[in-house]
Order: sequence, then C-alpha cells, then structure tokens
Amino acid sequence: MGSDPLRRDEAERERLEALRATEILDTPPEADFDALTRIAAAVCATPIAVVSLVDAHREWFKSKVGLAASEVPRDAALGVHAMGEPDLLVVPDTRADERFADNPLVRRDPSLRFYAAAPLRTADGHAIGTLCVIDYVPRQLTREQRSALRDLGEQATAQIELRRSVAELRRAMADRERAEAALRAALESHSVPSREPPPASPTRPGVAALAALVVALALTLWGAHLSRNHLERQREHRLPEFEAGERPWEPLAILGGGGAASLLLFGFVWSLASTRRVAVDQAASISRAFRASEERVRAIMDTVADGILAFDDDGTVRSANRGAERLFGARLSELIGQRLAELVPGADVLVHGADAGVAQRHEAEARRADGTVVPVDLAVSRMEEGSTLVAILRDVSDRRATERQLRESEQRTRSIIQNMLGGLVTIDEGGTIESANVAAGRIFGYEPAEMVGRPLAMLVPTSVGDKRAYLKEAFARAIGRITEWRGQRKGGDEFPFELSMFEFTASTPGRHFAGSVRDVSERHAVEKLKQEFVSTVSHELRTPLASIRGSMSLLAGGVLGDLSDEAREMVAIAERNCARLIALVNDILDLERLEHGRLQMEFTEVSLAEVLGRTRESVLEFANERQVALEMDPTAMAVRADADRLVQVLVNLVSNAVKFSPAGAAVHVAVRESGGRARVEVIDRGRGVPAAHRSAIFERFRQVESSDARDKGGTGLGLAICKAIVEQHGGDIGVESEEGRGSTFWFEVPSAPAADRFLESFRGGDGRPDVILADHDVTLLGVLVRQLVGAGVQVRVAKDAEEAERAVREAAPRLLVVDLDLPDGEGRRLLDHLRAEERLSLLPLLVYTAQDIDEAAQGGLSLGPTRFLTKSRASDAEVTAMVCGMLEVEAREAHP
Amino acid sequence: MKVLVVDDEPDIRRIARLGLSRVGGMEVVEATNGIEGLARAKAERPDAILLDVMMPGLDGPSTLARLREDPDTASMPVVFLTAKAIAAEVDRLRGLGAAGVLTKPFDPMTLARELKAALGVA
Repeated sequence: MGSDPLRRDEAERERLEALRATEILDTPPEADFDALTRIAAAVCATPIAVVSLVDAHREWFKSKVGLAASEVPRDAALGVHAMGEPDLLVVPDTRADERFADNPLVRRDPSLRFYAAAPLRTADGHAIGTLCVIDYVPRQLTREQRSALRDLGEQATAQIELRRSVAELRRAMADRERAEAALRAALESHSVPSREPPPASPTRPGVAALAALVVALALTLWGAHLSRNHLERQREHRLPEFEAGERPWEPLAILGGGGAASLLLFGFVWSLASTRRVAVDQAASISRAFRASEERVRAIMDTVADGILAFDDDGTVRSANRGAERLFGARLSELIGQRLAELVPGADVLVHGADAGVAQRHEAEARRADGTVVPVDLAVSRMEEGSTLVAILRDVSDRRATERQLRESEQRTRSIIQNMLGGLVTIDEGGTIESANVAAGRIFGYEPAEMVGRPLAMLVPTSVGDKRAYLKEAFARAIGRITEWRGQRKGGDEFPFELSMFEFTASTPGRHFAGSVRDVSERHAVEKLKQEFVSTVSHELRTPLASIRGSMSLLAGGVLGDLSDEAREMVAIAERNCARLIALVNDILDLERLEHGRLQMEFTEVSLAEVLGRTRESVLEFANERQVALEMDPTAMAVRADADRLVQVLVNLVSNAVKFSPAGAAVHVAVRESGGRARVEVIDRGRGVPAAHRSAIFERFRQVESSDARDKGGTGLGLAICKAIVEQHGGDIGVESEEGRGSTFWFEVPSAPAADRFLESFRGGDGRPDVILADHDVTLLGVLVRQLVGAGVQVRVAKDAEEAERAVREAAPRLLVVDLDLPDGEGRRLLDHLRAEERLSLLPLLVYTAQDIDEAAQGGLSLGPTRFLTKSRASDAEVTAMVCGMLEVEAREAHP
Repeated sequence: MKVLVVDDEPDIRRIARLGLSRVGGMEVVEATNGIEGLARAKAERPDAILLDVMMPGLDGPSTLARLREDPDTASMPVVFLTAKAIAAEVDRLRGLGAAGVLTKPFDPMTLARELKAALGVA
C-alpha cells in the first residue's frame, strides 16, 4: 500500500483548515464543476474524470464522470499522491507504480489502470484536491491533453476560490448591513445633536454610548476595507482570467483533436464561459454594494456632530468624518497622516490605556488648523482586532461657556451678598451659622469667617435667660416679615436689630434659613430724637399761642376798653386763626402720642347712647350755625372703649359731615350690631369722597381738596387721629361714598357684652392654669385668650391686681402676664408682693406696659425669667407669639 | 381774693393778671419761678396759688411739695396750670394734692371763674 504523503501533522492541519475555508465539502453537484469534468473526460478521451477533495478521512468527489461512488476512504484515495506533486501527475500503468499497485481500486474492482491528475491549490499554496482523469487500461496523454488538464485544474481551483470569496463577501455585507441598521436606530433614538448646544448637565451619557456604537461601526468599516482589499487581490490575480480577451483560454488548441468532437467541445466551452460571466457579475455587484455601503456608513458618520478620527497604533490619523473636519477646521486630506498627539495633546496617554471596546473619556483641547484651541470631551477606543483606534471628540466650548457664566453669575451673587449694606446670615436648622456677609460681621463686630460654624445664640444677649426659646420665637415670628430683637456684639454691647428670615433651598441636606439683619440702634435714636422734637416744638408753640390767644381774648372781651368795629373784626380774625393753630398743635401732639402709645386709654363699658348724646351736645351749635340737622339712632348698645376718645372720634366724623353738608340737609348717625362689634355710621348728603381718595383721607394732611383746610377750618389730622384711636380699640374705620351723593363714614369697635361674656368665662375656675393674664385691655385679652385656648393652653383672666394676686396664690401658673397699668394702679405693687414670697418670687413673668421701661426699672419689676414688652411697640400677634414662646407652645391663628 | 401767679413766662403772667384782676376783680401777686413763688407765698399769704407745672429750676410739683413742707404755706390751695392736656397728666397732678388743674392755653376772660370753680368757691 502506498504511504500517504500528506500526513505530516502541522502542514496537514493547515491544509485541512484551508480546505474547510472553501466551504465546498459535501455541497451538491454544480454545473460549473460538472462542465469541467465533462471537458476533461472529453479532451483526454477517458471514461472517468473527477474533481476530488481530500479531507482527513476521505477523498470526496465534487464532480465526476463515469464513476458511481461519491467518495472513497482516505486509505484508498488516489489523489493524495497527485496533491504532493508540483505539476501534473501522470501514471501510465498503475500496477507498475508502487504508489498505486497496492491500492484496492487498482488491485481489485474496478481495476483502474491509468491515472492522471492536476492538483488543486488554493491561493496560499495548499493542495486541497485534484482534477483527475482515469482509465481502465494503461495509456498516455498527449502534450495538448496534459496542457488542457493543467488548465482545467486551474479553472477548478478558480471556481472554488471564487465561491469562497463570494461567501466571504456575503458574510461581510450582512455584518455591515446589521451595523448600519444599528447605527441608524441609535442615531434616531439618541438623535445626536448636531447644532444645539450640549446640555448643561455635567454627565454626558451620549458620548460613551456613541463611542461604543462607533467602535462597532468602525470595526465593520475596517472589516469591509480588508475584505475589499481581499476582493481586489482576487480581481488582480484571478478575475482577469475570467474576463474574455485578456488571457483567453485557448479553446482552439483543444479543438485540434477532431471534427466530431469540435461541436461538442465548443458547446462545453461556451457554457463554461457563461458560468464564469455570471460569477464575475456576481462579484462585481457585490463589490458595488460594498462601495455603496461604505458611502452610506460615511454619510451616517458625517451626520454625527462629534468629530471621529480613526488612527493607527502609532497615533497616525487614517480617517476622519465631517465632524472632525469642522472641529479642526481642516480637510480630510489634511487630517490624514497627522499625529493624534499634535491634534489633541494628551490623547496619546489615553491610547495606551484604551482597552478593546472600552471607551475612555477625558477632557482635552483640540488644536485647530488656525491655531485656536477648542475644549473637547475625548473618548478613545481600541478595536477588537488589529491596530486601529477610534477617537471621538465632542466640542464642549458652549458648555464650558455656560459653566463659566454660571460660575461668574455665582461669583457676582456672592459678591453682591458679601458687599451689600444689609447683614445676611445663613444658618442650618440646628441654628449653626453657615455663612455671614461682611455687613453682618460688622453689625455684630466679628470677622465673617469667625462667625461660620458657631451657634446663632452667640449673637443673643447674655441677659436673655433661655436663648434657645428666644431664638425659636425669633424664627417663628421673623419668617417672611421684619421683626425687632435685641442682639449682642462681640464686645458685649447690646443693641436692637431688625430680623427677617426666609427659608431657602440648597444642595446640601436639611433645611436652610437666611436671616437679613439690620442694626436699628441709630434709627431708634433718630426716632427718639424726632419724638422729642415734635413734643418740644409743640410745647414751645403752645406757650406763645397761649399768649396771643389770651391777649386777643382780653381785647375782644372789651376788658381793655372799647374797640372800633374794624379793630374788633381784626381781633376776631386773629383769634380764629390762633384757635386753628392751637387745634393743629393739639392734633399733632395727639397723633404723636397715639402712634407711640403714649396716649393712655381708659377702657370701660361705655353706653353708645351716651357717646352719641355727648357728640350731639358738642356739635349741635356748629350744626345749627350751618343749618344742618342732626339725626341720631336710639341705641341700647354698649362698647368696650375709652369714652372720651370715642366721643372725640364721633365728634370729628359728625362735624366733618356737617361741614360738607349743604344747608337744610341732615347728618344721620346710625348704630347697629355687626358680628360682635358695634358699627356706627355717619351718613351725610354732601359732595362725597372720590374713590381715589377714600383710603388716603385717613392719612395725615390728606384732605380731598387742599383748600378744605382753609375753607372748612380743619387741621387735616382729624381722620388720622380717628383711625389711630379706633385701631387702638381693636376696631376698623372706613368710608363708603358716592360722589355727589354723600358719604358714609363708619367705624366698628368691639361691643362690650360680647367681649365681656367671652372673657368672663375665663375668670376663676379650677385647677392650675398654664397662664394668668392680668390685664384690663379687653381687646388684647380677647385676642390672647382665643389664641392661647386654641393652642391648648389653660388660661385664667384677672381684671385687676387684686384679682391677679388672689389667682396666683390660689394656683401658681406656669406664666404670669401682667399689664403694669392695671386700672387700680397696683401692677407694680402686685409684683412687689409676689417677690416677697419665696414660693412666687421665681414665677416666669411677662410684663408689658404703655410706657417704655428703662433697664434700671426692669430689675425692680422682675421675678423669675422675665420679659418686657412695650404695648405700643408690639402688635397683639407679637404679644401672643411671645406668650406662646415662653410657654413653648405653637401660636395659632386667632378665630375671632 | 388774693392770687399768687407763679410762671416763668412774663406774657402769661401779664395776661393772667389782667384776666384775674380786670375780669375777676382779684388781687394778683406774681412770681417768676418756684423759689420766688415759695417766698412770695410765705410773705403775701395768698388765698390761692396758680402754679405753672413746667418751669426751669424748681418745677410746679416740686414747688408744691416744698409749700406743703412749710407749715405757713402747707394749707394754701394750689391750682396747677399745665400745657399737657391729657387725662393721665391731670390725674397725676391731682394725685399730688392740687385743688385743681387748668390747662393752657387758658382764656383770660373765663380764668377767674374757672379758678373759683376749682377752689370750690362761689
């Protein structure tokens, strides 16, 4: 048995791999190969012709003429001997050749005696099979027959290679189409922005995703490039053989054999040529499809706004998209061949770290052709195979500009806050100072940095016993409005400051508050000066006025002798104007006292009928003079009021009404109950108040006509005084009017029964109260009691010092609230009594009074933790807030 | 009826004098301040003293207190003359032991009548 010359391990493995790659084994018969075997048999005049391929176990027949078997085992294979030959193998008598003599096909059935074969070799030189002709008798081949057999063998190989190329191209096409589809889908879903500014968000999910995508695409692109090279190689080396004319396959030389075979052969040759044309067309169309696909890929790459560079391992740019051209301001041809490290300094560092398929992101600067520099986000990826890398560059100059603007804006805001004249302190919810501006530092006497991280409580006077409660209260009251507090400077000086708080959101967790702080000690001093000035000027005015008036009065009274008529007239003018001046000074003083709480009010139960009666008495003469009738409703209502002040209000309103009524008209005073309050209306048929003036007339010196003061003799302060008085009663004042038809001036004050009945229920009672309120200001008491009861506080009310002392001795409360100006004048003595007793001397106390209490006096008025309030300075709500703060309960809205 | 008018303002003293004497037919003696007022009161033994509240040096209330300390003048009825026409002030002055309080500016034509009313004499 002849040895198998191919069985040489390594080489044989490579050969088998090359065979496998042709993908021809076990494929069905094909006309192209059958034509070759028919021609071979015909040209060589043998009964048998075969295209065979030899794998590890057998010799398989792709095409055969004159043979029934489709394969033979490898140990019976004849082809193995031919495949080792450089050229044709011709064995004239197989029994005479030792390689063949033992072969079963030679020795026994079918007793093959002649064998000639051309080896089939792949482009890289591996023999994978044969084209052979076989006969049952020994013989020879002519020179022409040998040449034909050789050529036919090459054609068989070409056919096998062609098929392999086509299969490879098809696979590559399928890959590209998949990649293209993926790219399109990704572009649609991500809609990579081409012109819009990039998002301000610091994270860029787009770049990494795009990088991954582009790598896949670039791989395919590169793959296609390689494949095309391969194809072109094919075309260079092989395809010309198929193309008619270039290297014609000389059929005439073969046809020399005989006339009868000529026609048959011509038919074979023709059919062979046509099958080759089909194969060539096929390859050409696939090649066109490749080019089209590459154009599509490039077109897609060019729609991407980001710059994409493909470069070699050594950093040389090999390709670029339009985005890269735009980014660098250079043409593709200029970019190709450049060094990446020169285009994007530092990018080479990323190259070293780039792992297969993993995009590495980096902030870098791209150097444009014109020498300018563009900030970019850079991603570099290495492809799975080979030495190609891809860099994706996103122009982030817009985003950097936005970031810079943000930073600048923040700096500007910070600078404004730092340099503004008002103090600003921010704190966390635990009361720790988070920041302070220069002004805040100046106000409190610290360096701003010194304040940060320290408790807000250090800004509160040491004299405040419970700083925590004080601040808690300050917070509750100061949110959204301006409140006044005492602060302490670094040196220990105490001073008044205004505080308004607001909550703001910050990126750090927890709640954050900002407090706007203003030192008002100077303003306080100015206010005090102003008050003193008004008071002094007024008093200084009154003395000379008193002299003038007295003199005029004596003259007019004829005490100093008779006057001529003209002299009497002049004295009357002087007297009248003097009276006006005195009224003005009195009104200014009144208003000043009212507004600063220095006008003491005596609240008692007052019958409205009495107020109306006194008003009639006061205004009647004037009304008669002006021929205006006064009509007053009878009423049985009573109010909580200072009777004199209420009369003052009503006299003012009624005389105004008379003043502006035409002669013969009437002024009507109506009284009715309105939701727990008494409403008094003064209705006239005068000229009315224009809508524009209706609220302004209650301000100082705001008469409807500036001539009114002169013509009607008013001071311009009357309604302002009325408003101040009514408001101190816890009431409201207003006007309704129809121009030309008259006006209705009205005011409302709490009616006595309602106020009393409610408060009466809190006098006396069982158990220990939380708070005892010793006050006679029914209005304030009403508000306080309602709010405290609403907050769940046990309240007891005392109307004078005696009652308060009794109540405190009965059951000491958690807090005593005392009005120093109790009606029996015993407020101070009450505190003296309580202090004298050890048990009561430490009672928490809130003292308030109409007058300011200086600090020296405060000491004598304290018990335990004591707070002081000036009534005129604090609104009802503030008193309530302070009481709630001292009791540590939440204040609630009053429900009147 | 003899009245001592104590006021630092000469014009006021003059007007008060005219009102009290010409209209009220009273005898009037004057003092220009508290200290002088004390001396005049002791010397003249007036039936009533019209005493200004706000004066430089010894003011009205202090003068009243000093009058009360001297047995010679302790029982003399005093009526204050004040520019502060507010109820609290009037109450305060009454509380000091004054017979009455008259407010500035006063009308000299009715001053004598008002003084008598305050003193409770016809």
